Amino acid sequence: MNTAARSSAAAPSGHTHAELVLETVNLDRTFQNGPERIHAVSDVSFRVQRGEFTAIVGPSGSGKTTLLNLLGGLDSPSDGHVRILGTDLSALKASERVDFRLHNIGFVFQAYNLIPVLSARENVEFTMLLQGVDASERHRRSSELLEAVGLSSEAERRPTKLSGGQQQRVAVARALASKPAFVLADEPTANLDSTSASALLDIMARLNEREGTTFLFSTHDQRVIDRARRVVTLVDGRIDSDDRRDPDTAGTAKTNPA
Amino acid sequence: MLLRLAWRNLWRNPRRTLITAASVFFAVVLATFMSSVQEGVWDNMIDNLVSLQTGQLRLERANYREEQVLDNGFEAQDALLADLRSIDGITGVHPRLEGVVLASHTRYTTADNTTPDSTARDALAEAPAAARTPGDRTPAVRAEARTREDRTRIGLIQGLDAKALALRVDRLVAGRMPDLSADVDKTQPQGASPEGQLDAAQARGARRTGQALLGKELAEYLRADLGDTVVLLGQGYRGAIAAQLVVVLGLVDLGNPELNRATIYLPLADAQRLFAASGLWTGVVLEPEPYSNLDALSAEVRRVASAYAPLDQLEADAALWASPTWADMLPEIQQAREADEGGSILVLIILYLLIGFGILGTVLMMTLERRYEFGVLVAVGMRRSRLAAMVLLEGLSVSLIGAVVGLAASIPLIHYMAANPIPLEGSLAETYEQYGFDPVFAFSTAPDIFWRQFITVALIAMVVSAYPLYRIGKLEPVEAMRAG
Ligand SMILES: Nc1ncnc2c1ncn2[C@@H]1O[C@H](COP(=O)(O)OP(=O)(O)O)[C@@H](O)[C@H]1O
Ligand SMILES: [Mg+2]
Repeated sequence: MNTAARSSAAAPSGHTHAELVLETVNLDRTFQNGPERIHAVSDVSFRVQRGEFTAIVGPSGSGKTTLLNLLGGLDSPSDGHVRILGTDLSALKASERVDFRLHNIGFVFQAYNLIPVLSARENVEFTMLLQGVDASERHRRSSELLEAVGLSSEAERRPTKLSGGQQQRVAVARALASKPAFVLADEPTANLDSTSASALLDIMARLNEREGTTFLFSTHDQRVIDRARRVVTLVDGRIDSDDRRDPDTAGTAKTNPA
Repeated sequence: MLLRLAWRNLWRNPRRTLITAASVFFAVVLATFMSSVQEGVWDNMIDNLVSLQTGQLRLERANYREEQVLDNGFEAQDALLADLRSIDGITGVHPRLEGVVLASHTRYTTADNTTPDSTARDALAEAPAAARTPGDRTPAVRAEARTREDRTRIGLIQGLDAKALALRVDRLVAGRMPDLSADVDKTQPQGASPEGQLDAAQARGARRTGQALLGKELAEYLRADLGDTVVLLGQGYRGAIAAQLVVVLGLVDLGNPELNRATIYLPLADAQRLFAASGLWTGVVLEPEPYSNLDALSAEVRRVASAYAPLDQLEADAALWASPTWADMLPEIQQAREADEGGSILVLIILYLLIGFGILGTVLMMTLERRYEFGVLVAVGMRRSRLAAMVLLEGLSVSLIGAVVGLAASIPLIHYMAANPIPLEGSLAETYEQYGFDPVFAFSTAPDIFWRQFITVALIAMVVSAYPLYRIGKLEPVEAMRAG
C-alpha cells in the first residue's frame, strides 16, 4: 500500500549475515512539564538486527515507553533520528506514518489492545483488512496465527470473554498479522499473572526462534528479563548497558555498551 | 467491515443509542405533524379558494389579469379545450365566463302578516291619496299594506360548465342544483357574437329566466328566498347591456364570507346569455394532478395555447395567452402563507436544536469514552480519515434510525389523519370560518413534508459530527492512550 515503505523495506542493509531493521541516532525526547524540563530519552543510539529478541529494561519512569513510542513512530524525537528499514521516520507526513506503521511495525500494548466489538479472529484480521488483504487470505492467516498463540478454539470469542493472558496473545497474533519488520511490545506482561506472563513469553520466544520474528519489548519484570537474548537497560532515559546473551545459557555475561 | 464495525459499536451502549434514536424519532414525528397540519390547513384554505375562485391553473388572455372584463375574454374553441385536456398531468378542463353585475331583489311585505314596524307604517302613511277612493276601501287598504323593499348589491358572476357546477354540490346549503339538461339551448349561436346579433340574443335572454346559485350572505342581504327572482344588470360584451332575470335555485356556503357575499353561480350558457356573449369564455380552469409542478404545467399550457388565436381577428401567438397559477392569481394568500410558515420555522429550529444537542451529546460520548481505543486503532495503522468515517457512520446511523422509524410511524398516521380530519368546535371553528378556513384540522400528505425531515435530520447529524471528527483528525495515539 505504502510504496515508500515497501521500497525502503527492499533496500539492502549493507550487512551480509544480518539485516538492520532499526537504527536510532542520538535520540532525544524532552517534555516541558510546567517550568520543569524532563529528559525522558537522552542520546540513545542503538541498532536492532532482524531476528533479535530484545528487552528494554529499567525502573518505572526510566523512559521505556517514551523510547518505544519513538521507535514505533507514535511520537517524534526532540532531536536525533529513527530509521526503520532505512526510512527516516521524521521525513514522513502524519498520514504516511500511519501507513508506515501498518505495513512495517506490529504493536502490543500493556492492556486493552483489542477492539471490544470484534471477535478474536476479527481482531487478528483487522490490520490485514486495513492493508487490503482479501478475505480468504485473511482467514487462512488468522487461523494460522491463532493456532500459533494457542487460541484456535477461542477464535470466535469477543475480548471480554477472554482472560488477560489470552487477550495479550491475540494482540501478539494481530501484531504479526500485518507481516511487520518487527514487533514493539510495551510491558506486555505487566497486567498478567506469572503463569500467563510466562506463557506469553513462551509464545513470543517460539515465534522468534521458528519464524525469525524480531521482538523489542519493555519490561521491569526480572523473570521476563531472563528470557531475553539481549537486554538494553535504561537509566534516566540513557542506555546504561546493552547485553547480549547466549541463547542456551541464561547467564549474565555483561558486555559494555559500544 | 467499516459498516459492520460501526453497527456493532452502536450497540455497545444500546440504551444510549435507543434514547438518542428515540429523541430523533419524537422530533421527526412532531415536526412532520406540525408541518402537516400547517400545510394541511393552508392547503385546505387555498384549495377552497382555488377550487371555488381561481382554480389551480388557468388559461386566459394575456391582458385579462390586468383588466378583468368580458372584452378581454376569448372565443370558445373546442379544439383548444381538447388539446388542453390531453396535456400530461391535466385531469380536467373547465371553461368559464366571469363578469360583474348589480343584483337586485324587490320584496313585498304585507302589513297584516308581518310584525308592523315603523317602516311599514310610514309606507302606509305615504301611500298615494288617489288609491284611497271612497267606496272601494278594501282593495285600497290591501294595496297600501303591501310594502316594497329593494335591495341591490354587486354580484360576481361565475358562469360554469356542467362539471364545474356539479363539483360545487357539496357547497349547497339550501335548494337544489340547476337543471342543466333543460338548458341545452340550441337557439344560441355557437362561435363569436357579432354586434348585430346582440339585440336578438338579449331579447331571447330577457325572455328566458336563468337559474342561479347565490352565496348565502348575498341572498340574505337581498332578502331573496329560494324560488325568488333576482334581476341582474350590468354591462355585457362589447358595450351591450346585460340584463337577465334569474331564479334563486339554491344557496351556497363557500366557507369564506367574502365569497358568500358576492358569488353568483350560473350555468355557462346562462352567463353567456346574460352578458350577450355567447361563444365567449374569460378563462379555462385546468385541474392538475395532486402535487403537480404547476410552473411546468403552466408553461406547457401556454405552449399548447400558442397554436390558437384568442379571437378570430387575432393571430395565433403565445404572447396573447397567459396561464397563471393560483399563486399568481392570489399573491396575497401566498404571502400570508409564507409569513405564517416563517413563524413556525422558528419552532422547528428550536426542535431541531434540541435534537441536535441530543445527538451531539451522544456522538461526543461515543468519541471521548473511546479515546484509548481510537489511539490503539491509529497506532496499529488505521488512518484517521477512516476512523472519522466510522464515527460519522455511527452518528448518522443513530440519527437516521430515529428518522426512519419516525417517518415509518408518522406517514401512515398522517395519511390516516388526512383521510379523517378532526373537526374543530366552538369559537375556534368560528374564527377559522371567518378567515375562510374550513373548521377542521386538515393534514397534508405532501411528500416533501416527509423527506424534508429526513434530510434535515441527516444534515444535523453531519453538522453535529463535525466536532468529534475534528477531534479525531487531530488525534495523537500516544496522548489518547496516556489519557486512557
Ligand atoms: N507526555 C509527557 N509529558 C510530560 N512528561 C512525560 C510525558 N511522557 C512521559 N513523561 C515523563 O518522561 C519520563 C519517562 O516516562 P516513561 O517513558 O513513561 O517511563 P517508563 O515507561 O519507563 O515508566 C517520566 O518522568 C514521565 O513522567
Ligand atoms: Mg511505561
